[in-house]
Amino acid sequence: MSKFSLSRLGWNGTHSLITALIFLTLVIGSRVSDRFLDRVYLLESVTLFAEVGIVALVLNFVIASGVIDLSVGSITVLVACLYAKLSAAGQSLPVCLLAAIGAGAALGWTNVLLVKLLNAPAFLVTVATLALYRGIAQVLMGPQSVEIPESWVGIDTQTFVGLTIPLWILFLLAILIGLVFDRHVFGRETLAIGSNEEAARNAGVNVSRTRAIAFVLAGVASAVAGVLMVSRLGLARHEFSRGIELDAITMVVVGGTSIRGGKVDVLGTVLAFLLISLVRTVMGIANLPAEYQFSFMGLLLIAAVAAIGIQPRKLLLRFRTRS
Amino acid sequence: MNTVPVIDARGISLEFNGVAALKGVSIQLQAGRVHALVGENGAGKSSLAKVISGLYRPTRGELTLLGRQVQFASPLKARQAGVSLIHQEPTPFPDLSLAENIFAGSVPRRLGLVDRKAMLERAGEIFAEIGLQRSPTELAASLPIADQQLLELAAAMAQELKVVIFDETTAPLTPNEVDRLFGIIDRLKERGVAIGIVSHHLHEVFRVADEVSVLRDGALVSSGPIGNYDRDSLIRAMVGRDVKSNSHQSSSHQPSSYHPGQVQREVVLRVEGLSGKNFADCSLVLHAGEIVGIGGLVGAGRTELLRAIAGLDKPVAGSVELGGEKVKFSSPREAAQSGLVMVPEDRRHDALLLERPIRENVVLPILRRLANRFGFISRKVEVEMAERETGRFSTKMAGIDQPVGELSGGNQQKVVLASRIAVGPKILLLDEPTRGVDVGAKQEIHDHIRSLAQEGVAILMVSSDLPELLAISDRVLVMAAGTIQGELSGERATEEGVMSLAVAR
Repeated sequence: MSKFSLSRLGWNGTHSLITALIFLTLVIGSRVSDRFLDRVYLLESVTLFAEVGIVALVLNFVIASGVIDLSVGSITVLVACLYAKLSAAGQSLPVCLLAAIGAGAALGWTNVLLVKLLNAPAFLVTVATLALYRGIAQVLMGPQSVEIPESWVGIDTQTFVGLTIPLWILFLLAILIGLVFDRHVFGRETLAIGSNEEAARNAGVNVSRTRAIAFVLAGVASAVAGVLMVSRLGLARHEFSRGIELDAITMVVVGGTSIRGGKVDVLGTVLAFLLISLVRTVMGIANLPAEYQFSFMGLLLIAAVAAIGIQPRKLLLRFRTRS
Repeated sequence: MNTVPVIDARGISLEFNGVAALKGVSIQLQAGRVHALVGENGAGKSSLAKVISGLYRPTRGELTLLGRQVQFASPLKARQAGVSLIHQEPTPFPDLSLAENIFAGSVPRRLGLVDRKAMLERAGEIFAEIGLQRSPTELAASLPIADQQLLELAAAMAQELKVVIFDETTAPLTPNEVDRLFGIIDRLKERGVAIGIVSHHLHEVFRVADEVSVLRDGALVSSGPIGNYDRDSLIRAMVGRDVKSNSHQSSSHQPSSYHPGQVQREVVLRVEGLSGKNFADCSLVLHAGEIVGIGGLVGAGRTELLRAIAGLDKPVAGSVELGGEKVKFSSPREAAQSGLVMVPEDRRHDALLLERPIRENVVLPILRRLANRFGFISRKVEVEMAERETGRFSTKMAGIDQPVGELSGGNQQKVVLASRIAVGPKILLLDEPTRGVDVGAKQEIHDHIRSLAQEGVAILMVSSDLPELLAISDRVLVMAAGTIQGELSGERATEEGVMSLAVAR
């Protein structure tokens, strides 16, 4: 009975599997430390990863269209640094926030321009801007930390109806993005491009414009993550948020979105976000060194890729018959 | 001539997913003789060439090479045994030198290392022999297509060549290049190589062939020395004996609502001197409510012409007028906004989102029209639209949320047509609308095309299926070698008439 209504809501095997893994993680976590299952502690821990979760949700647009953006983590840190510099220079809060979001959009747009100008795959271009954007952040900041004014510090500790503000942003965004993929022209055309670019073009979809919007949105989401990050930490440094693109892509792929494009799973991304933030927290309290944590994330990504590999039907569909 | 044939293929059958491409074909290739394979599109010529050269393994039948039964594991194994196929458009390794291309897979070695000197020397010798004026150290990337074919031949000759088959090799060549190729074929004959050629161009067949075999629907229908045939008898053999009855059928049927001379219909599309890749100087007019067919053989430039009209490719010269106004579409999107929509030939590659539901496929071209001003589409509106459009056809499906890739070819094609008709086009370009579609679905698609024409839609249809072309077209344009060779209508629209224009050059 309940199963029927769940599947009508789009519940699938991937979701059940991730949920089971979340419970397993909770059980393991409670064995490692008795304070782990504390509600406030869990909320704080998950909130730490909300920034990555937000990036992952929006990255779904880029990935569902069949390409990738690896520069999101660098946009996050560059925007965080810009924000800190601007506010240190005495700019008001609204100005700083608007400038940060605008910078995110501009950096996403730069990716689009480079892809078009160089006629190169997005993968290559965003590997380059991954280095470039972080490099600019380093040039901007040098070795020091820049603190931000009190007015924007600590958004992660403020709660509203039991959830922290970053988590509210994440969950509302998830609902919106789910709707866009299901019912909005942009979401549907994005999926069409990822499923079969040529067919989408022939059906009248403006392929380059749709992909451009996806990259700009990824830039904006990374900027939001950046301002949430400076608020949480109260300062910015150029080496922050290193490697979060790996976490974000892992959330997207583990959640069931196809890395080849054409298939998206927003609910899966949210569940994968919960799973990964809990796993990371458990690894943290178990005092697992950072390098092991990194290896574990790699293994998780490999497991997700393996799970995708065991889908022969999709491969059969891809098989082209031309005479 | 009692010698053992070089190639003796007996009772060759070939099936793809239960569909027969060859039905018990037997054929022999003799040393120093040229054997031509002719037939309509899809008759099985290329399939037979590929079976002989080891690219396809026959479902039944046996193949002997100089009296010994063989079964090639791969084209490379066939080549090493002395049997090679020369493709119309070879695919050399662009970043390797010509010499490396020739010896790919069988590099001469010394002490386990590539013997570069021997390789270059041998390549130079072969080039001299076939008159390819290129350096063996040159990269293959910039080679024109005629030289790519010679490169493939050179690779064949790097082994002891016993059999070579040219598969539609002359189609992309200029007359001079064709002459050069025929000169090489003559020299290969003198050396005692058994030669097969697959060709659409009958005058070439009469020029070089010693024997000819005619295939139709995968079966061998006629075979013998070239002297036993003339052009007309060859065409008759290709089309089949039931030509007369068939053409009667199509002329007794009064297709669509177009009656020449009765009402002067409005001209909706005028194409003037359109030229592009693989077609040149094509002109045509299309009236509202009219079905115009484009016949011709594969490679005649028909698809390219349609694509240029639809804005998928840019023409290099000429003009397209829609309702009296010159248009230059830079995308299918612009064309659709002006009421012109194309249904591409390869539905899986160019028209369908295979893993997405039928519903999404059907509404994709009209998403923007269904959306409210914020870009959102009501699910109710979308479902109604998808059900209405798929309901035009009796599409066999589990429901509109089934992935379209799970449907049969015929039902997939109905989904493509439904999605394009949903746009409400004034002009519909169809490229092989019933390719790979079962008989029932075919009939249904034909009925639908006719009723669209009756509603006033102008239809331009490329079809290689002669009965289909003649049955639903009001008039037929025939293309060959990139140009429109002529127009047939009424009594003159027969299968022989079409083939006769299609093989001209």
